[in-house]
Order: sequence, then C-alpha cells, then structure tokens
Amino acid sequence: MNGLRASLLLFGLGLALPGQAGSLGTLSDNTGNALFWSMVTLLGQPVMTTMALGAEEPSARLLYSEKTATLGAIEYSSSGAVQFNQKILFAASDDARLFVASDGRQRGAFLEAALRHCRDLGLHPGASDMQLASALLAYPGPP
Amino acid sequence: MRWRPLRLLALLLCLLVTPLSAALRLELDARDLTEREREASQALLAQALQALPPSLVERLDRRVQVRWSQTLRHDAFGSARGRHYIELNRLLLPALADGSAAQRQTGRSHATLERELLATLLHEIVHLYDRARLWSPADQRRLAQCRSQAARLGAVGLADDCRGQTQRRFTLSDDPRLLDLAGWPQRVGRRGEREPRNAQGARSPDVYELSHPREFVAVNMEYFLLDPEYGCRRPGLQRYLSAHFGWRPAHASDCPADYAYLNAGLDPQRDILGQLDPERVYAVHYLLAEPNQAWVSRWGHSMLRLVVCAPNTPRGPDCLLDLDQHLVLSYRAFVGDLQLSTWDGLTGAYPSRLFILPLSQVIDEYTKLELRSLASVPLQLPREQLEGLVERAVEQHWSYDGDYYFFSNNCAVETLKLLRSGSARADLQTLDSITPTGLLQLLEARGLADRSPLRDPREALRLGYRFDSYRERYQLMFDILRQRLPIEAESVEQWLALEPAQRRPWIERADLRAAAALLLLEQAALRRQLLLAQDDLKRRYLASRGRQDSDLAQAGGAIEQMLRDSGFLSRPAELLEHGYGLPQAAEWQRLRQQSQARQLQLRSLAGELDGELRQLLEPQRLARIEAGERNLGELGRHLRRLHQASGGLQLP
Repeated sequence: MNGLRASLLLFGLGLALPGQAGSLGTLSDNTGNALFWSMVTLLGQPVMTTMALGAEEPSARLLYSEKTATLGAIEYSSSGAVQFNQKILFAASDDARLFVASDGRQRGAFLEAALRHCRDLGLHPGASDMQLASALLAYPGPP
Repeated sequence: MRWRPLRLLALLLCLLVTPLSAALRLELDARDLTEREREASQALLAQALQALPPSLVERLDRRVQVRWSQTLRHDAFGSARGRHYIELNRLLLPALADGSAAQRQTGRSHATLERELLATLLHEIVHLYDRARLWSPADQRRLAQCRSQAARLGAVGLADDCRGQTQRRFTLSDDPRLLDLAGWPQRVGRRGEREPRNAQGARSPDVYELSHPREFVAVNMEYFLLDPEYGCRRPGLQRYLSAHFGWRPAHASDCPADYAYLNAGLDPQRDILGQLDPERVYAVHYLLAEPNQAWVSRWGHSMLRLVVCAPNTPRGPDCLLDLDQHLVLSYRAFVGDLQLSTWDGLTGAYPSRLFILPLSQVIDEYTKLELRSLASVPLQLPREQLEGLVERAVEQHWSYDGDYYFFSNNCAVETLKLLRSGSARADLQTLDSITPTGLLQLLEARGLADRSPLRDPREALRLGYRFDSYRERYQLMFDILRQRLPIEAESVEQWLALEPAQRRPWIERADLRAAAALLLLEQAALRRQLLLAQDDLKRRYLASRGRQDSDLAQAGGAIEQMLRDSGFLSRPAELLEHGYGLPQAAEWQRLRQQSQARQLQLRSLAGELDGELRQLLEPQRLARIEAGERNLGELGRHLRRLHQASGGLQLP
C-alpha cells in the first residue's frame, strides 16, 4: 500500500493538471515523486475530468473547459447579492453521492456549502436537503 | 521610584548647560578638501542627520568624525571604525563634489551614486548605534531581570520571553524578535541557538544583508530610511523598526490592502496570480494530514489553513463554509526529479518552500490520493496576531528558499517557525517539536489550538473541521452496495479488482442510492488503474534511464524537463528580476505576464506528451482504463435518468 499511496499523490498531482504543475514534483510530506507527471498528462486529463465532473463521456470534455457561470446576481436577504457560483455545486458532487448513498447519514462540508449556496440564492425554497443533494447528484458536469 | 525626579532634574540641567550635547554630531574631517568637496560633504552629512530617526540621533549621543579615506578597498563604499569614525571611499568624492553623483547610476539598488553614498553613511551610523547597546529604559530593566533569572534558574527555568535575552550585546541585531523576522530562526532543540544560515534569500534588496544579523540591521535601515515603499515590501520589519524608534519616515507610502501570491493550484480558472486581503481572513486553523505508513508521511503533515471569507460573507463563523475561498499554507520539499530519495531527504538536498494552495486541492490530494484524513484545528489568535501571521506567510512565500531536512527542518518545524515569527507570541518561543502531531499537542497545551469543534465527529465533518479519507468512504459505499444489490464480492478490494466489464451489468440494476455508491467506487477503481499504469511507467523509465534510444527515455526526459520548468511555481521570486520583498502593484502586471507565459509553455509540453505516453501503456492496462471511463459515463447517465424519472429538482 505504501507504494500505492505514494504514487497516488504523484499521480494525483499530475492528473490534476498538466498546465499548472503546481504541485507536480512537490512532495508533500515528502511523499513520493512523480511519474505521474507523465501519467498525468496523458491519462490524466480526460480521466480526471470525468471523475471530477461526475461521469460523462470522457471524450466530450477538456480539463480546462470548466467554466464558472455567473447567471447574474440573485438578490438575497440583507447582506447584498450572492453570485451564483457553479463551482460550489461542482465541488459538492462527491459529498452529494455520499449523502444520497448513505441516506443522509454522511454529510460532508462541501455538500453543506452547496446546500447553503442554493438556499442563499433562494433556489427551490422548501426543498429538503435530500432533494437538493439528489439534484446535485444529477447535476451535469460542465459542457 | 524615588530617583526618577532626580534624574529628570539632572536631564533638565544638562539641557540647560549644553543644549546641543545630547545628540549625535557628525563632524567632517575637512583637512585637504577643496571648498566644493567640503560643501558637498557637509550637505551629505546634513541629509543623513535629517533622515535618521530622532530617537536614534538623541540616544547615540556622541561626536562621530566622517572622513574620506584612500585606504578602503576600491569597491567599498564606507566603513565604521571604532566608536567615533566613519570612513567613506575617497574615490567617490569627486563625483559628489561636481554634482554628477546625483545622476550617475550605480546599478545597485539605491540607483544613483549620491543615494548610495547617503545610504552608506546611514548604514555605518546604524552599525555604531547597534554596537552601543542603546536599549530603552524599559528594555534595560527587562534584560536585567532576564539575566538575573538566568543566573538563579539556569536556561531550563527561564521565562518564555527571556529566551535569547540573557546575553544581549547589541541594540538591535541580537534581539530574538529581529532574528525571527530577519530569517535566523531558532534551531530545533537547541534552547534558542539560532540557525547559522539565512534562507530568506529570494527577493533581497542586497544579499549582503544575509551575511550577518548586524549587516541585516544596517542594510534594512538604509531602506527603512530611504525607500518610501519599504513598509509595503517588508511590512513586518517596518513595524518592528517603527516600534523600536517610536517613529516612521514621513515619506512612507500607503500600501495596497491586498497581498499578491502565486497560486500553485491546479484550477485553470483561477488566476495564477492570487490576491489575498488579510481583512478577509476570519481564522487560521492548524491543518494536520493524519499519519500513514509511508516513510515520508508516518508523522503526518502540518499545514496552516486560512479561513478566507467570500466577498459577500461578513467576517464571522459563516466563512467556515466558504470553502472555495480558503487557502492552505504548506511547506513542501520541491523535488525536480522522478526519484524520491530517502538519503536526499535526510541530508537537505531538497529545497523547502512555502506554497499557497487552494484548500480543495489539498483535500483532494490527501483524502482521495493518499487516502489520509485531515483535521482542521482552530488556532485562538487575537486579530493582530492573526493578521501578522498572514502577512508573514506572504513574506515567506516570496522570500524563503530553505532546505528540507527530514528530522530537523521538516514541515512541523517550518510551520512552528512561521507561527512564531508571524504571531510574535512569547509562549511560542520555547515550544519545540519536530513532529506534526507533537506540535499540535503542544499548541493545545498552551491553549492556542482548540480541538473542541472536532469532538462531535458528524458536526466536524459537516462544518469542515475534519475531512475524511476516501478509504473510509469506499468501505461505507461497499457496505451499502451489498445491502442493495446481490453482488458476490466480499470486500472492497475484491470489488475493485474485478474487470470493469464485470461491474458494468450492475449499473442498470442500481437504484439511486446504489448508483451513487457505485459511482464513488468506480472512480476508485479507475484511479487505481491509473496509479498502477503510472507506477509501471515509472519503473520502466527508471530502468531505462541512460539508454537514450528507448521511447520511454524520450518521454521521461520530457517529463523531467516539465518538472524542472514547473519549479517557478514553487519559487515565485524567479518571475521578477527587480524589486525586493513583496511585489508592488507596478510589478503585478509583469508577474501576471511571466507566470501565464510559463504556464502556457508547460501546457503545450504536456499536450505533446499526452499522446506519446498513452502509446507507451500496456494494451491491457489501457483497455481497462478506457472501460472504467465508459462505466463512469454510463453511471452518470443512469443517475440522471433515475433523478428525472422521480421528478427530481433541477438546478441552474
């Protein structure tokens, strides 16, 4: 497992992003190092995209095509306007799966943030957490 | 107390008798100077006196003779001799006398020769001041208390704020606080002994400052006194010096509210040049990646998390869920090679640098790829200390280029040094730990870290005080899957080891809960295949290194090139040739161009590699990866069908 974990990091990094190498080649607490730069680049793009975005055909997507949609400001409560931020919804995809699969018992912070965002925007007032989580589950990845 | 009026009286008498004596007097040695030389020199002396802090002029109560010397090395500007003499290099006098020094560019950081001469004079005066032990009365009392405490109790029983104060010999340059800011931090486990080498070498105005703390003080005073932007470029030192002198130069510029940093994150939508407004930081957490069994991570990894509020969120607890805004300060070893060497890690061959990363990326790296959990423990810092810490972190991000030592300068040690120099808390001076978990325990013991939000595990997960490892999630998903579908696999391992085609038929039969579980597990399976492929390529490449002919060696060489090229993300100072300290608004434009250009270059290299590496994979491995990708696609469609069929809500 050690090897696996070590390479995971690498791979993860790599995968995650060829262009930004941010952590490519960095060794967080010093975990391994990277071949995955390679893998990354290669395999990484389409695959990671798929994973991150929730499963659509890999061919359709490019890693860099993610877009932050700003659908105009929606007025909310007292403290000004909250901008719709699609990224907050995308970031909740894994947490939403966990929440739905566990019938609401497992509730991660990214889901919590997305639920709050939906409510701040006044989307589907009165909807339950489960209804919103399952809408997040079916939320399409970026075009 | 009784003698205080007496002293005042004495002071008053002194003032009456010799009104000009309680101050620094600069006297020119005018022998064999022409009239013009004398006038120009006098003007220089007057400028210097005017630039100095009034309290320095007052405390350094002596006559100092300034003379033009022919015995200095030809490339030296000046030198302080004894307590009463400063020498300037006579070779520079003609240019000062004929006025050309005001225009002549030196190529050094003060630009013109005239400014360089003024800076030199100030530099040497500061040396005299530093050597003269001119502590304020309050400081003198404290130093005396510390000395007597050390004599009674020894080094072990010394109060926190006496560490480093018992053998002071200089006004400024051996002050523990100054040394922390300057880049000579305490060594681990040596009761206050300082690191011999200054690693804050990036974006230095004059590398001479790194040679010794006394030079550091003198060089920094030049900029403190002469550069209006000093306070924006080195805000921590500016505050320290201003507090010491009870004064700041009238010409000091107003600084922008935001700090610039280089975003080493992976999200291409995020501006690579980040801007951080310390006002928006609600809290700082100690972020601990829990240990696992790999040699490099057996102790865990310590980082700091900045809880940054979204623009619309008022600063307060609500900011905890603005997860997309949060940043992580992480000291990492930068490894520009494919091999991680234990030996190099122990002996300091890897540079250690402070990365500023988006929180979500750090969570993904640890929980998904390394399968480790993260604990985020709030630090109880008063506002002033919190903002000091943020400022210090950005300063380190731009200037620090240290060496990673597995035992003596690892992430825990670096994080402690950052906490210490950023918050200026006395109770951190005597903390010592070389492990991330040990450091957390010490911080808790001092009441600085508050673990209480982590006590309720469900709430901790919901509010982001803990991020659970995907290992736990996969197990849970598998249990749910077995409850809902009659699968044969008996363990997660078995399920993930199946061929993708064997898992595929279950997709159609899954209800919403099972499909959600299947999706998480399918991702795990695919990730595992990618890792295996990567491992395999890495092994083959390392084995073939040196044999120039193989395809693998070519691709590997390109990868190593990319690793080296990506180094700029870890050392942002490389992007700018000019300026020092924090980059100012005028430099941002260039920073942005530079960083984007390098990023594009990396991306195109990555694009070329892409196809090449896919071809290098074993056909069987590639087939499995592609089949896994198809499963994921099918699962996504299946989930959406189920959701629509049940009349689920739609989000914009």
